[in-house]
Order: sequence, then structure tokens, then C-alpha cells
Amino acid sequence: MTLTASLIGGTGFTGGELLRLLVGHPMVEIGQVSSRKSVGKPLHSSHPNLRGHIDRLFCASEEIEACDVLFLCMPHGKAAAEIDRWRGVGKTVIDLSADFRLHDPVSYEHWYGGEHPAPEALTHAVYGLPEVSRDLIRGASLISGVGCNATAMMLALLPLARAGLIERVIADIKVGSSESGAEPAAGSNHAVRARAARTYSPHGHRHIAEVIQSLGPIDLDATVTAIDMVRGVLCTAHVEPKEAVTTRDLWKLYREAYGEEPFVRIVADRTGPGRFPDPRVVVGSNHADVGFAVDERSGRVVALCAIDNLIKGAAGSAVQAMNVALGLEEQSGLGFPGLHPA
Amino acid sequence: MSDTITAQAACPECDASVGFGREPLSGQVCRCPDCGVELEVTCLSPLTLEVAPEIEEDWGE
Repeated sequence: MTLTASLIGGTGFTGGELLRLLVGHPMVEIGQVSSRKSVGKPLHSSHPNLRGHIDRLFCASEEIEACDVLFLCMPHGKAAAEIDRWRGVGKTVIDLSADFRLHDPVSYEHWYGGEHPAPEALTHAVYGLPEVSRDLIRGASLISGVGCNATAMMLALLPLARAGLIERVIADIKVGSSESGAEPAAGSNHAVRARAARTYSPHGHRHIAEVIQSLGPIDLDATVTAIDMVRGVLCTAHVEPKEAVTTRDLWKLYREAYGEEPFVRIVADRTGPGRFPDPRVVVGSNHADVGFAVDERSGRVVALCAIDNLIKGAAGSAVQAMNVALGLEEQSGLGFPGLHPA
Repeated sequence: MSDTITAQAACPECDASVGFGREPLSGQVCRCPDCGVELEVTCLSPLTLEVAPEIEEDWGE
């Protein structure tokens, strides 16, 4: 069985990484890839790493034909506006924007600052992070992609939230420049972005909503800082626990949560430069490295997670969700272990 | 053969199973495969591991 997968909006970083993963997927044949600006150009005009791996030209979205899986890689707000159309094209639709991440239209309006374009479709959408919603993803026909910062927060905190241990948590998140996408902006040109350590969201980041939706009503805030890194997210969550915990307790909780997860690794060594999660170690891979430590003086738990924002935080989770939804081997197309040194 | 586990004990730090390819010796130092802590064999029967004294990364500076 070979599935045909097409992309709407394939010129961005997420689209490029999705294509890279799908090129190596044993069960998928890439169908068509649309673009607003690059119709008629080869895919490698936007993604030079794919030269020689895929012989396709970008097409217009109007030319996209029926397919098994349709990935939507459009700016936020665009997918929802035409979701009925896209659901008529792909048997399974996976939207990598934020349009279908939140189930509640009121919550969407609060966090995204406008009415949802298709609130009725929210009831059909499933959140596409297998580690938190695997059973719901199986057989789903409309799957939402994940927020990269949300993914890092959720995977750092999920074992603690399931155990009801979180009294309050502040997540300090460091992110790479690819989070802001392929379109240039005032804050993304090299002179401004290089060597930056720029806090652009001191509190109230919208990805908090996804975390609370998935983990329950925890007292969470987040600070996001752009650092001198192209790819990657490092979430360092400072947790005030409801009761005292030991490192040994945390090993038990994290093993229970992630012992069977194919892409989550526990990294909490006592010594060495790789003792805690580091985004460089997961670059290009679908791994999420999680770790933890306990401050015996204050009782504070430090929970960490490192991901590649473009892979586990976007394209990789989308492919993983596709595999789960369609009953494929969950790790298909996602076996790349990352680079070292990166 | 060194890849066959002949004895194992729990890591006192993280509770992982620490295996030995050869019969452990009293005073032997090994490393936990999960949390990476250095462990010392302090008793052979029952096989018991304790956290070995640690050298801090900053060397006391």
C-alpha cells in the first residue's frame, strides 16, 4: 500500500522539512505541492537540500487533485477559511497551522485575537501530538499540527501534570530563528537576529492555551526568548510542586509516561556535557529529549525538554500523527537519529 | 562474554537496573546506564550499589 500525500503551501521551512521526511517515508508517494509565489519552479528552488531527491514543480493550489493525505502548511487563519474545500481533496487532512489546535472557539478568540473562521470544524479536529492524544488520532480525518513551544512545554510537564503535582509553573523557553518562518521580518534579518538573546514574549504566549487544553487546568505562564540558534526549542520549566518529590520519584513518573514512547528520551544524567536535554542533539530528528532535576533546598522541580521546532514541533509530529491515524508503523519515515556534532 | 549480564542491581539514584558483564568485584566502580551516576559496589551478597563520591564540574572554584 502506497499513500499519496500532497501539500498546500510547500515553500516554507515546515513544508520543506515535511517534504524531506516524506521523501524517505516507505509508504508515501509525494503527489503535488502548491505554492502562491513559486508556481512552475522546481521544489529545490525553495529547498536546495531536496535537489535530486524529488523531481516536482510547485503548482497552484487550484490544481491540487484528490489524494490520501493533504498537509496544509499555510499561514495561520488560511486553512480554516477553506477547510471544507481541503477536506474534499484529502481523505485525511493535517493542518500544520494553529487554526485547529484549540477545540473551543472562545478560547481561540481569546488567544488569537479574532473569531475562528470555521468554528463548526473544530469539533472534528484532533490535536496531533501522539504523546498526548494517540487514541484520538487513530482513524481521524482532520488533525491539527502542534505548536513547537507548546510541544516542548507539554512533554517537559506531562508526567508531572498527570500525577497532579503542579502547583505553579513558569516555563522559560529559548528558541531558534527558524521559528519565525521563511518570510523575512524586521526582527529576522541577520544584522538584528544574529547573536541575539531577545525576549519577545515575556508572558502570556499563545501556546500556553494548547498546553492547558492538553494537560488540564494548571497554573502556567511562559517566557520566550530568541537566541542565536537556527533550529531548536529548549523549555526549562520551573515547577513549584504540590508536595515534595525526589529525583527517584521523577525517574519513576517519567519512565511511566515515556517508557513506551518511540521518540521521547529521558536525559537526566548526573555528569557530563550531555547530562540534560540540548536542542543541538535533536536537530533534524523527531526526538524529544526530556529531563529533570530537583532543588533540594527549595523543593523546586526543573523540568526540561529539547526538540527541533521544525520536526517534533511541526513536520515530524505531523508525519507521526499521519502514521498513527492511518495505522502505519508509527516510526515510519522518522528514523533519523540526529547529528552529532551539529 | 562481556555482553551477557551475569549480575544486576538497582541504581540507588534512579532505580534503573544496572547490569554487569562479569562477576562484580567489591569496590568496583560502574556507571548507571540511565542517570549516568557513578556507582560503587559496596557489597557482593546481596549485590549492593552506592553512589560513588563525585568530582564537581567546577572543581571547587
